Amino acid sequence: MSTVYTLYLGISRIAMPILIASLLFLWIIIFKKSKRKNEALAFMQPEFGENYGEIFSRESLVGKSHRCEVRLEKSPHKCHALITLEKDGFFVEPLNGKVAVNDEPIYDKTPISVGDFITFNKEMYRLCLPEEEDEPCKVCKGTGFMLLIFTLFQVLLCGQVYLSPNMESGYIFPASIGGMILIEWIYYIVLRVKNGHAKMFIEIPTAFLLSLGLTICYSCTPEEYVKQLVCIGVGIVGAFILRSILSGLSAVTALRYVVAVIALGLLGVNLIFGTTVYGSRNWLDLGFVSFQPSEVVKVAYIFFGGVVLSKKELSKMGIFIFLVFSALCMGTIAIMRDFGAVAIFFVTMVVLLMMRHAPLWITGGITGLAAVSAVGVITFLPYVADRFAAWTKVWQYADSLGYQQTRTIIACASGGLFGVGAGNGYLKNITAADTDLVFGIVSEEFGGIISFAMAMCFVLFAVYAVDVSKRCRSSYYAGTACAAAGMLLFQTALNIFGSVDILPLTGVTIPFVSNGGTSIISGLCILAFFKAAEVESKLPETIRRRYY
Amino acid sequence: MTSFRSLFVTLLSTIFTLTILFHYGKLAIHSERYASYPTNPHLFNQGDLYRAGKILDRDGNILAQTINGKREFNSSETIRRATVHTVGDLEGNVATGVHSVYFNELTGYNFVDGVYDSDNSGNDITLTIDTDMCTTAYKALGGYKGTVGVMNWKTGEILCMVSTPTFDPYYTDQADKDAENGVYVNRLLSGQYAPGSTFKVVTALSGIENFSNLDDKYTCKNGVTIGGEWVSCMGNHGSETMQSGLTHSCNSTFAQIGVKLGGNTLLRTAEGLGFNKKVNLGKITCAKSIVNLTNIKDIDLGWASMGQHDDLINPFHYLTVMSAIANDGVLKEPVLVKKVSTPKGTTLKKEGGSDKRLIAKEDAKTLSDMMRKVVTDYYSDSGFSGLETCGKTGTAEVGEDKRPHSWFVGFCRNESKPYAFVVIVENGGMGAGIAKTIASRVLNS
Repeated sequence: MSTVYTLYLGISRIAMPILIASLLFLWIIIFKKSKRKNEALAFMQPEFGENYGEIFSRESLVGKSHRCEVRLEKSPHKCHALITLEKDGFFVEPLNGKVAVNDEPIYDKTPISVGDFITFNKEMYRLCLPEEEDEPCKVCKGTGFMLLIFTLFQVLLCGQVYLSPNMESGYIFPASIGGMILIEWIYYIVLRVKNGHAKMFIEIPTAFLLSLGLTICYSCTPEEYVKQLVCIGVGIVGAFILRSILSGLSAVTALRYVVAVIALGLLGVNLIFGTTVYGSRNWLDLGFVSFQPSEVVKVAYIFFGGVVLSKKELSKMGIFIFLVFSALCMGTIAIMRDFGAVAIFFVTMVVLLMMRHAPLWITGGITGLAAVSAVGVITFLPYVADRFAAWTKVWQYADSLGYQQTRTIIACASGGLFGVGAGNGYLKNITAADTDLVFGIVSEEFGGIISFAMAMCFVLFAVYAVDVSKRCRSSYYAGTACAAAGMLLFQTALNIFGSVDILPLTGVTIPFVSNGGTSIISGLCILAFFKAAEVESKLPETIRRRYY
Repeated sequence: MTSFRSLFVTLLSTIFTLTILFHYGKLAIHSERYASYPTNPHLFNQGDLYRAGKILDRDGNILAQTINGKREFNSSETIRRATVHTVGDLEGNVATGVHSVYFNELTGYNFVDGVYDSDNSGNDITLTIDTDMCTTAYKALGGYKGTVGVMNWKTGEILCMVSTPTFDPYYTDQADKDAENGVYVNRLLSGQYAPGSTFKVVTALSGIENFSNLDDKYTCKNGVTIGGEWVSCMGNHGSETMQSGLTHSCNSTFAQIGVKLGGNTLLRTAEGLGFNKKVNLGKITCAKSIVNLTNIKDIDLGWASMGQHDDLINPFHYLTVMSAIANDGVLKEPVLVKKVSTPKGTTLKKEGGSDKRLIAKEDAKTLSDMMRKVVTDYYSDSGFSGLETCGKTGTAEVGEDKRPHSWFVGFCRNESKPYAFVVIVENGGMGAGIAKTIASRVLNS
């Protein structure tokens, strides 16, 4: 080792964790500050009594159920009607009960205006707008500083990789990280110019995860590095496309069955023509490119699940359709023996059901059913039973079934809190380490602080999704954002805890960090669900302008 | 209501965070064990510890070192066998070995910095043991199972630590076959033995501390009746004082002294000496010495007072007791690792140095004189000339068809050879025999 490298490593291995720790700290502080109370879009003022109904979101239920925004006392229906806010203003749509607008009975979706009287059965309400609030909306400050800290981290990382004697010292790595830095700053400036402030709560952690992933890819499989870069590019483009589709709920509704058919079709083709890798038949080889259809289906699943479980559909057959779709997806993937993916879909399903107010007995019943079938799978499938055989006793099988886990734990211990430097680890030499054992690689080469930060990024996504779900204007976005967060988080949990023997090893990837094109693309697309859910802070103003 | 909907995601995040913290907590606690696993490529090369400093004895003799990426032990097989329980093997078979317990110091590993080390060399460890004394003890033990421990009672330094059966650290696969005979156990640190008559020293000390008159007479007629039951003695000693009872190792005398003291008084003395308490040698955790004297019948107390009943003694602990008696009742903290230093010679860490009074000065002197008399009056100084040896033998019955374990414990009062010692020979027969011979050979080396 040259003296320059030794000196550089000695400093940067300490500096990088400090930068990342302060980055997460800043994230939390800025996030807390940027929270603001949500303004109601409209009120439903009752003719008698003081039972105001506040309309916060683009879809609000009217009925006697406690989950309705406007609660009716005399209606016999849990979900009586639906009030929506669309581009052309407010609409009311009868679901199960009788509705009249200004004493005229209606049977279909009907536009309503401020001041209109809407009668549900015998209860009459009037649509009003709230008083204008003088408080200016809080601007999100500090994102630029966060980005600056992160850029510093990326520069240090770049130097470590470039100087490392254990890695190729070509220009491609510095060039790609440099490109990333450039894109981040352009993105930041565009946001600043467009909105007056920039929120990058999702983008910066993602860029951090991608940087780690690129480094690991560069040191483990340099020949796949370019492919990885291309996939990131495709993923980002995909995320923007999906984001723009998601911005119009009518487009989402129109596309739902197309998406479902494509998803099921992909899985079907996969089932018939799939290739088996590490015991799971979840790869599809198209000759010029091979990919994992189940990764693509993840995006489709959230997309479809969100719409089918909409407030409107829920009162009809929504749950049933969703459950059938879920069963088909999970069933096919289970046949492919990708049980990790099945578990991920299952958790996403539960999140969606909860977010969309499915009755608890359904969620509970399904969970019970899943537990029973999980026990069945473990008992009767020797391939799965094998994976469980070493679980929690990997040291007894240190050189057979517990090989990967023990090596990961040793790597974690060897890295300490600050790591041995990018490319200087040994865990990467183990088969499939760059997908299954990335947590160990990060712990070994970058240390415990950065690997902890890596894991916490997914918790931050969840914190963000939960918060946004309470404030965003459509329950579709609320549901899909939480489903996306649950999916990413659970997938990460399976990978990390599997590799350190807290859970059985399942061979799923960590989104953005693990090597794997489809996984990266689908991961980036899933982020579109977070961005779509971002609070439309100017909405009340727009409505006021329309009606006054 | 909105928070209920997202409850599941919040719950997932919380469980995730707690679990990942659990992982890091577990890692912090066991980091040394994980890092020292012989497949860790940062420190081992095919099971061979290639990044670690030297282990040296007190005179600078190399007991283990890494040369060109190979871990090498001393070139003499006898030295390797005599010191392997102290030095430890590379696979962690000897749990109390320096290679295992001082792994961090030796390799420079720690949880914060991991294996990161800018010069990749680890640190050297200098031990207090004297290799010559260890080999003498190993040879003197012959084919017997047992242990020899010698400690400098003035400084607390462990000079000799040998345990048999032993093995050659180069050939652990052969030793594996012998594992059930305890080949990997350091009997001095991890053994627990029935003390036999050596326990009479503790009972005598309790008597010295509690009786106003030490010249009281006790009767012995090939034994004595206690609480309606018979305690047998090897001889028909007639009438004995405490001193002559100790000299003749009279069971009847000490059974009566024990009953006269009572269980709680005897227990207080024993616990004052460290019985029933944790025993450590630097970072090494040793086995405990155990006496059980509360709420027992007189007959059991009688037997316990002379080391039978269910008394168990850890040899190393008894070595510290002997050191304290020799050093006017003050125990110098025992030391095995003299210093940890970088290859360039900077000392990073020293162990030991603290004092602890276990026995009042006068009582220690009285006991020391009594033990001196045991040697001069009963065994004679032959074999220990000029050492001013004080001691007590023991014969611990271990079963009907087996020869008893043979003990000899004590210390030299000669200021130029301030050695406390413990010798145990398993199935060695009567105490005065083999254990004393071994002690004599080791102390004269």
